[in-house]
Amino acid sequence: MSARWEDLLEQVVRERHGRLVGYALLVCGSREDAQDLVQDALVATFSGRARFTTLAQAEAYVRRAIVTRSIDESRRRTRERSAVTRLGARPATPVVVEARGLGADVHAALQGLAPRERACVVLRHVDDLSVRETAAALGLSEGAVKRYTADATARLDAVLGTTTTDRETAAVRLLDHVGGEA
Amino acid sequence: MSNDLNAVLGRAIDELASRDDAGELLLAGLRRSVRRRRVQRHTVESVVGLAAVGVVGTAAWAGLRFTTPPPAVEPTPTVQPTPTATSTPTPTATPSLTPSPTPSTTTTPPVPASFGQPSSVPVTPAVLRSAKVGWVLAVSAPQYLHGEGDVVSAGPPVLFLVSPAGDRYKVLEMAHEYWLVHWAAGQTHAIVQVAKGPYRSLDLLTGELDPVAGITDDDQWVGVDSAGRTIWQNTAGRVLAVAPDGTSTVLAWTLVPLGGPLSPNHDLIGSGYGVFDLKAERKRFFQPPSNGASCSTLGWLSDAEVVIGCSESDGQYRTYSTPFTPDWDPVTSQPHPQPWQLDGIEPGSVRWVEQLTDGRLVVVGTDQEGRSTVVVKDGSSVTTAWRAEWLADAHVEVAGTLVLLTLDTDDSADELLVYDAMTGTTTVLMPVPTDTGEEYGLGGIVWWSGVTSSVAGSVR
Repeated sequence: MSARWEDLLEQVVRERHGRLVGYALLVCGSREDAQDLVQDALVATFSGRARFTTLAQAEAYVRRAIVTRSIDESRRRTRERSAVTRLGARPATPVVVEARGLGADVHAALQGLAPRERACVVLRHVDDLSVRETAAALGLSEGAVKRYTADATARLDAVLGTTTTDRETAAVRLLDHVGGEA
Repeated sequence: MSNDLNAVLGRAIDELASRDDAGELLLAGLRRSVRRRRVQRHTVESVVGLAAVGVVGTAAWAGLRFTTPPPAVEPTPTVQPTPTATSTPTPTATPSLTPSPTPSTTTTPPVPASFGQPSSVPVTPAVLRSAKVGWVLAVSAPQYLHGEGDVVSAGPPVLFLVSPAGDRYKVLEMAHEYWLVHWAAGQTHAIVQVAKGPYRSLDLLTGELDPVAGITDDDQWVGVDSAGRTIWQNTAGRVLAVAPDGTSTVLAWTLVPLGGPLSPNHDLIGSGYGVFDLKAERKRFFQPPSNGASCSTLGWLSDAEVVIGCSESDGQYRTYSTPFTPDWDPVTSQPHPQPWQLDGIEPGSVRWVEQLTDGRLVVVGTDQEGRSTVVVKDGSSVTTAWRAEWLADAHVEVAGTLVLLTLDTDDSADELLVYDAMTGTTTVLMPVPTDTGEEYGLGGIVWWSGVTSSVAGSVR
């Protein structure tokens, strides 16, 4: 049983690690966090039951694990901050200094979103997952995915000057407003 | 440059990507972590599995009291030679190969070098020379995961000779692990590959390795043709035939690798968009099923008709059968490939087709549920020889009317079985090690590897 997953793990690490770190930086605060997140995702992916045989399949699983674990991590940090605040102390906020340029701008814009919004944007607009697939991956309702994605893309478009071609979310926002939830 | 959000996010990933090469340290750490997790998962699932087996076992027993029929294909237990009277004496493990037992106040015996090896009796020259087609040479190199995910070998790899009935004979202990490549049944030499490097001739009686006559270290194994010549191809594309007396002949130069099963008459083998005729020393071509299709040979329906798998421009992978022309003929008057499928195997999932000596076909693919499946096709009748129960795959080798199956699973060592297509029975030739090592102070081990290489004895 040894050869297959070990060979594939080595291939993913050698050929895709750098880009996976870049991907993880979309959903977490610092390069160190991104590197930790990628390692956790690699271990989780290759320890699990999922069966994949190609580099592309393995990378897709690792990416999914990166996004879902980023939400778990943000939940943990929220709990930690609450506890620290209750104790009257100030949590140490990691200072992120990235190189200037498009990557830094996108990273900063994404940091202005809530973790679930970031996750929805990345799965929908980077990995091209459907609403249903994104909902299943993140344990959210399809309605929630549409709302998070719509809110997030509107803010990213405003900050980055981008355009979003997927307009399925407009109607959802309208319905939310009608329902008085926004 | 597109300002679409999707495109901007993609470019951002490129900019944010780490430029540092992932180091060996990272890779080693990941490997250990994954192994450790797999050991933990396996331990938990083994406990759950035992409980489940208890329930299923009870149900089966209760069923047997009131109903009758046994399964149509029932694995036959391995014939176990009596270890007390005839098994090979266990050699004392050398210190360098013996893992240190866990420190304990109770003295435990050291792990023997034979730990994890299957039972066997010593081979004799007479037994070796009497081996027929379908007897198997197999290398067993048991390794287990222990502690923090360390991979441990208790002793050296061992080469076994195994009969189709499951009788095992220990041939020799190997200084290194070799990949078995070719063995003509009854011969006292086999061709092996040393650590994915050069090919050598292994003397099965002495363990000595010698260069293979007629080839260089650059040559790669292809097969044996109808005249008993071994066929080789080097990285420059030179196709070489080596006669039994060691004389070699250059058949052709082709950069397209030769591969897949040989035709039933052993004169043809796949080669890109065609087949290579070893007898005529030239290539023959088939027509791709569609423009832009990329095809490879999966096997043979006869000496005149080949099964091909093609990735087509619409992104689909399909299986076809097609004859081929005697000469290069680029005009579209060539016969057009026809879709090829059979019951029990999903269209497009076929990956190997080979004939038994009685003309029936062995086909490897996946069923509708995506499970690896091996079937025997006799006209329109299809019999399942093996189907994966869980995350497993099978590597297949055909010998006469026997189908050798090396089962590769994610969570245990490999296992070698033989399916007899004449009787429909399955026999374990090389089992997965089951020793727990408790008597040696080992707790919670998982067998990582067992049989690592095998080759069936062939006619030539």
